[in-house]
Amino acid sequence: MHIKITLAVLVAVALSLLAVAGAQAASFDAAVSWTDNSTNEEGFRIYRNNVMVGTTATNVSSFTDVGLAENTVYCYRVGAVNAAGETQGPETCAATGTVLLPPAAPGSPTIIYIGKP
Amino acid sequence: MKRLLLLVVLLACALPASAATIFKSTFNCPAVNQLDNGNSGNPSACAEIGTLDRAGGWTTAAGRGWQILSAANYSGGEGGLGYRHYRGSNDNGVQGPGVNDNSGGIYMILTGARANIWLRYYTRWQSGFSWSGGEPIYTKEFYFFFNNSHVLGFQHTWGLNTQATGNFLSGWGWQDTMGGTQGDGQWHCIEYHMQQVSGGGANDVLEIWVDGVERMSINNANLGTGTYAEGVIGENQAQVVGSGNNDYYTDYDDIIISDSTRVGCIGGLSPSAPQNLRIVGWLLTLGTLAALAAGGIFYVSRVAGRSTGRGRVAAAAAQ
Repeated sequence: MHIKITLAVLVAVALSLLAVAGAQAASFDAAVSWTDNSTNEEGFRIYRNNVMVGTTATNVSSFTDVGLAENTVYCYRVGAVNAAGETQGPETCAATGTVLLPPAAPGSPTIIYIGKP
Repeated sequence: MKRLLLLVVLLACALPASAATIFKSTFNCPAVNQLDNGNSGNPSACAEIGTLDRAGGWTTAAGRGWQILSAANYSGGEGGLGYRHYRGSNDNGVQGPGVNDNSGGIYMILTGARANIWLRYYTRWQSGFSWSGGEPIYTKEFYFFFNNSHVLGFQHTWGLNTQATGNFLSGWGWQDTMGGTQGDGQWHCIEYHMQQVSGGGANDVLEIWVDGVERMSINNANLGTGTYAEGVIGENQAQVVGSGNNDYYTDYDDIIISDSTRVGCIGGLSPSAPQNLRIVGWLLTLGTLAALAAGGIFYVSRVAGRSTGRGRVAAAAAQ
C-alpha cells in the first residue's frame, strides 16, 4: 500500500502536542527527478549511495527508489549513458524521518452515575 | 578576375582536411618491430596525421622491443594493426624490479605546438598483468614535452604528474578499471584534456575520462609553461610482478589528438550530465496509514520525540 505525500509535508513545524504520539515503522520510497540535458543519451542510471539502483529509458527524467528505511540519509546521483560512456551529474542528499501518528481515539465513553440517576 | 578566383581556390585546397586533429595513428601500416634491421625499426609509416618516430633503442631485460602488429589491433577501431609496448619484471640491478625494464617507446609528433590538447586512445593491459602490491607505484603512459620539461600521464591514479609541479590524483585507480588486481585483457578508451591557461603554470585545466566516464575535472593544475609539440607513448614503470623473462605487454591503438575539441570514444561522445537532480518527495509504505482517509493528517519526525513536519494523505494507491 502506497500513500503519496507531497513535498509540502516536510515543512518544519514543531508540534509539541505530538510528543506523546507513537512512532510507526514505515518504509519510504524516494521520488527523484532531474533535467535531461542531453540529446544523445540511451537512458539513465540512478545511483543511491554510490550503488546503482535502477535504470530508465531515454528521455525519462524521474525514478522511484523503493524500500528505504526511516531516519536515514540517502544520496542520489544520476548518469546519462550511451554506447560511448556515461556522464554523471552532481549528488544530492536528503533524509527520511520517522512517521508519527496521533494516538488512537479513546473508546466510546461510558456514563458513570455518581449519585442517584 | 580569373587569377583572383584561382588563388582563392588554391588557398582553400591548402587548408588541412581536419584542422582540429593534430595527430592521428590507427596503425594502418605494414608491421614493424623495434628490433628490425638491428634495432632500427621505424614506425614513421604508421601516422595518418603528424609523425611517429623511434623514442629509443632500449629493450626489456628479456630483449623485447615494441611491436606494431595485428595482434595489438583494436578491432572496434580503424586500421589493421596496433602498437604493443613491453614492460619487464627483471631487476636491472639499479632501481629495482621493473624500473626502466621496458621497450623503447615511440614519439608522437604533432603537426604544430599547442597549449590545448585533447588526447584519445585505446589501451589494453595483458590479461594477468599484475603489479607488486596490487597497484603500481607509477606507470608512465605517455609524456608530453613542454620547453625542456615534460608532463607525465599516469595510469594508476588516472591523474597526471607534472615534473616538479606535483601530482593530480583522481582516486580512480588501476583496480577500478581492471576490476581487480590484474590486467583484464580488455580494451579501454582513455581520454585526457590538458589546457594551459594564460600561458600555463597555474589554473590549468585537466580532465580525464575512462571508457567515456569523466574521472577527473580540475581547473587549478600546473601543467607547465610553453606549448606541447610532441610526446612519447609507452614508457617505464615500477614493480611489475614476476621474475626472469616474464614481460607483460600493453597495447595502444587509435590514437587521436585534437587541439580544439574532445575526440570522444568510438561510437560517439558520451551524453551530457543530467542537471537539477532533486528528491521531490517521499512515498510512504505504511499499513497503518491505510486507515486514514484522503485528507487525513499524520506527522513526520526528524527529531526524536517531536514532530518536525506533517503530511496530508493525498491519495491512497491500490492494494
